[in-house]
Amino acid sequence: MKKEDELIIRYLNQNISEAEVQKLDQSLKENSDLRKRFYDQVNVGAALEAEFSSPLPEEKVISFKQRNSMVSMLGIAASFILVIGILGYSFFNTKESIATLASNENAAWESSLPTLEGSELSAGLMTLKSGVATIRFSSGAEVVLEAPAEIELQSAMQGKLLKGNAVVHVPESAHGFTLVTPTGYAVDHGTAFGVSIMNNGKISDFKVLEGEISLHSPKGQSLFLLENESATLNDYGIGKKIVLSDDQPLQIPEREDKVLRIQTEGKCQSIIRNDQIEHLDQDYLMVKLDTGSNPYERRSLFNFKQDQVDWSKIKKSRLRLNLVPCGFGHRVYLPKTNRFNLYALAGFTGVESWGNLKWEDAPTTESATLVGKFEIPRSQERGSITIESNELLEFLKSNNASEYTFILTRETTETRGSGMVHAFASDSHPEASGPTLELSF
Amino acid sequence: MRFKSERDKHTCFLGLFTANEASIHGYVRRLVYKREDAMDVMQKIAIVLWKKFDQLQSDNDFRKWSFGVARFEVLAWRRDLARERERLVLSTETIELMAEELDHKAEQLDLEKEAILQHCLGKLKIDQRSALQDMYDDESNTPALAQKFGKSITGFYQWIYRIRQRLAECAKQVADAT
Repeated sequence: MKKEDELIIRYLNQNISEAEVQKLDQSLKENSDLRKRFYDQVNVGAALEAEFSSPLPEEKVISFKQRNSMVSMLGIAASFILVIGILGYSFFNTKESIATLASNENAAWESSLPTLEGSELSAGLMTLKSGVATIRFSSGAEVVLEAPAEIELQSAMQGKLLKGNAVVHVPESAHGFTLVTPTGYAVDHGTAFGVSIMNNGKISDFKVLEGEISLHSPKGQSLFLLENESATLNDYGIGKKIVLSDDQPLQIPEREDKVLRIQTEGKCQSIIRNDQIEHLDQDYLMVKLDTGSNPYERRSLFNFKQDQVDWSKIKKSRLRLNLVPCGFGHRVYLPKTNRFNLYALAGFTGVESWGNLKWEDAPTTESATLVGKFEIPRSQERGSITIESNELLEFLKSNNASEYTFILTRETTETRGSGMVHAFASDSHPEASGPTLELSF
Repeated sequence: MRFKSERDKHTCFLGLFTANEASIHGYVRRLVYKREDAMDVMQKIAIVLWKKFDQLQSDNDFRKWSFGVARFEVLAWRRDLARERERLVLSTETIELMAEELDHKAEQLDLEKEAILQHCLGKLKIDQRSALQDMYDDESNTPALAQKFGKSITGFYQWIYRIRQRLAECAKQVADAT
């Protein structure tokens, strides 16, 4: 993007300085192509405004009702089911099993319900922190969740998705399965559909993969969606129906791209400058820069191996780390923002054995290439860190090795002694996933 | 134009105005970057059009005439903004130049906008759509949004720009095909 194009966006968002406006003004006057791009951007902005802000044009719903009075009937029926569902949930909340946890794929749960694969689940709230999981309601309806997600199991015929993305498959036995979201609910008439809760629950986006569903807003609007149709439920009601063209494959979150995920398989560890390994823990990849001569400086090393692919053909590369608290040190003794560097080495350089590597024997940052930088505010306890830089991509492509070793360092020190040690989940961490390298081709 | 009664005049005006309101609004919206401002300007335009409706020679001139009024009101908006110095705005010359060009492009751009709504938005990936939505909901919060989508601030702007550019390109293809 050229500088002027960025100025257009910033002008439209009013995030621009006086000098920049003058510069944009001059460029617009002189450059008719830039003016065309300006009109395009304003026009797109106006369309987005219509899409995101307006209450649904009434006629969409009304015309539908005229065509088929069954819709309102179904709406009423569905709300009836909903009321019964909620009543059933609150008044007859016995510990009766209403679903099974059909599968966990690298899933980390937070729930008072059992979270082992195959567990019987009663009504209750489940939070999926990472990974993908499938819940099979006893009616037969199946919900595949993608983390981070939160779902409340309400009855065999009803669940409430509070957060996250899910794909719902409903066999014939479970026609009428209701998926409630913070902005309304969808009744399934025998289908598969995708749903995403966005903007802190303000918007739920539905896409029908096959079959049909009906959407219902709290105000009583309803809309039928057929295969390849999509619409959102928001605070204003039901958004416009969008027909997705056949040539555009639906983007279902967990099948988004052909992504190859590589994990460290035991080859990850922290090292400490004074080699006092009692200050390390194998579940964490620890990183710290301390004051003085840095006796407690910690770095983390991890290795990804994959010899089945041609690394030179990667289109995209992403390194994911999960920040987790490890309990060492105080965050108040850190600067507000902490900077980290990621270095890469092609191959398995210098590391003879993982597990008890000494500082002296470990590869140095000087021998490696800086491929990424990121920042973490001291207040942040958890979260997924994604490093996606051109340097990383170039490094992986140009070396075309079968394995790569990374060194993670903290560049910022502490404001006084016993500052916090930053930690990322290692591949043995009980809850969060270890480092993952994602490649798309 | 002459009318038999005030009631006739009213009916006639309402018919013409309703038929053209969307395109006038589109025109104003492309020159006035703030949605709320565009609505204010629209209101003023409606009042002026009604007050001066007697001066209109023929029904067929309504669009041209209303666009002229709109252009004038947009420039008044620009002048008021510059006077208040609260927000930054392009120069009068540039806005005049754009107003002239946009007059000729209005129908094409209206078609393209409709194409975006009916067709192109549905082609977005979920994260692209939610980024646009987040930007729309709180544009002032770009640094936090950039972080949310794992991008640097400049990278985020570029990404948003590319998504919007893709929507614009899609709109042109669809509009040209229809």
